[in-house]
Amino acid sequence: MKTIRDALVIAWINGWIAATRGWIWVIGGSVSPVSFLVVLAIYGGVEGLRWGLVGGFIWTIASNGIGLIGDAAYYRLGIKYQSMLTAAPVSPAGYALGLALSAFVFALPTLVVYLAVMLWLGLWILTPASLYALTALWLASAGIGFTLAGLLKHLKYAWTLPQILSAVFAVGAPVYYPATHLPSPYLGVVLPTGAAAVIIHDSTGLIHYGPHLTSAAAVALALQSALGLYFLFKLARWRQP
Amino acid sequence: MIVCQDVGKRYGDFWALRGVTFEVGRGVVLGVLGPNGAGKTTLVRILTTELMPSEGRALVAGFDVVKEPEKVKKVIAAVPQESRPIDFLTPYEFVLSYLLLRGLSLREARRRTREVLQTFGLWEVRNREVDTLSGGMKRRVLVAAVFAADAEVVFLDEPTTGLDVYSRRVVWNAVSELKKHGATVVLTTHYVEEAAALSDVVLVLDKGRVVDFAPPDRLVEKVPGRYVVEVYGADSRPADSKAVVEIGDRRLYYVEKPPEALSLDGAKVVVRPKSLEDYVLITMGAIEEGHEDD
Repeated sequence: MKTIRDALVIAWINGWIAATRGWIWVIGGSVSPVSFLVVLAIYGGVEGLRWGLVGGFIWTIASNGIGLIGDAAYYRLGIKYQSMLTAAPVSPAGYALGLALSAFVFALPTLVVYLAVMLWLGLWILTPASLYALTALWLASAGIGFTLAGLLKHLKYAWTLPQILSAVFAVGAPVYYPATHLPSPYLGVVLPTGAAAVIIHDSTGLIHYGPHLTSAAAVALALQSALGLYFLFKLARWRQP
Repeated sequence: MIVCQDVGKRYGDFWALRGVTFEVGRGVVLGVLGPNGAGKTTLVRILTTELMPSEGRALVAGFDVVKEPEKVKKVIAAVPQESRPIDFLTPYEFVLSYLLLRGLSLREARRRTREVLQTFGLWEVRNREVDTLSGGMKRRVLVAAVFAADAEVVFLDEPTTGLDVYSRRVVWNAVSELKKHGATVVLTTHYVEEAAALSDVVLVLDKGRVVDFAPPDRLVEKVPGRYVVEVYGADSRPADSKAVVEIGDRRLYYVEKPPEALSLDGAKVVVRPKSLEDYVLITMGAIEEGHEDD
């Protein structure tokens, strides 16, 4: 209960207050996915727009999770806020989940816009399979973000690392294109963004991969999110050895 | 309230802290003095459960910092070295959220936030973003949050570094108030006069080892003589000088009586009673200004 309360307090200050006070951060998190969307719409027409919307939806969730690197590293190395909380009855899990939740708060306005446009195009993303994929992706990416933030020794890396990861997770994985474009479609489920995309592409009817690949994606995503949570709770640098 | 037994911290072959043993009771202000790299922050980080010691045992309020960190966290509060409040929050939001994270009810957290912001002269700026406040006010926001926590043991790691004289005294008042409420305060500082003014007992660290552990006046007693003749720009040793410290062209002579006359052409001379600063100068040399990062 205390963990959930801690998470909500962190999400309130780092998510709600930050987002309502600084719209630039909300816009910043949506810029990359929107640029992909525009390019795809120009070259692919309505079909490109549909792929761009689904890819953008996935990427917005993942990029905000990975974007935790900046927040968590700033609080730990920049202003020593994490040290202040370490010396208080605050659970590391609550703190980490709060940061993850605040990332979701940041993503929310963008996701609502995407949803509206998808509805307009007759694309329904909120299927049970897609919701599972999006939730698991949120946990996996937040786990990756928080864990990497804990490993950083210098704050300057917190600004560049998300950019590198963005490229790998958005372009290296079949988020904006079908997994069938890869040498083997199963390579698409190696990264959590790709695994989530395989499930969502199939679930929304953009492309039908068949039960084997979607099952593999579901299992891979479950493992990736479990691993993300494990790192988030156990290996995040709350107490230094 | 705090017990350290042979506490040590090693990084590879380097010992940042070794053989630290001391004990302080409830309602005591412990000043921790030492030059850069002395191990002050390492000690604080071990006692606040942020850093694992390599050896030894430390108890805070009766709880083992290694085996019972959760119990320790409930009774402590800390302002870490070089910490700053979150810049896009207001002082009100920062203190309130800190108290909520500590487990206080919303009603109680609101009441204490209002009270503490008034105490620390921050009520007028409660709705301004921290980013727009002066450095002194920012630090006061941190100390106010910790003050409102009503913890049994409070750690203030260089809380007044870089503050103006007014803000520094606001922090000093907070330390005195915490002590009055029965809290044990661990105060690390570079400012010797601050340690002398606030501490009941001073732990002097150098190169990770305990150099001394005693009340400030007992440490001052160890300085020879009663007065200090501080001379800049000339060398004229007073007759009864018991010791001398040289810092560039400045010489500090420790004497029993202030000299009646000194023939020093063009030199600047100050005669003053000896202080804790002189103990530090004689024992360890000059304490460098700046921040410890160990």
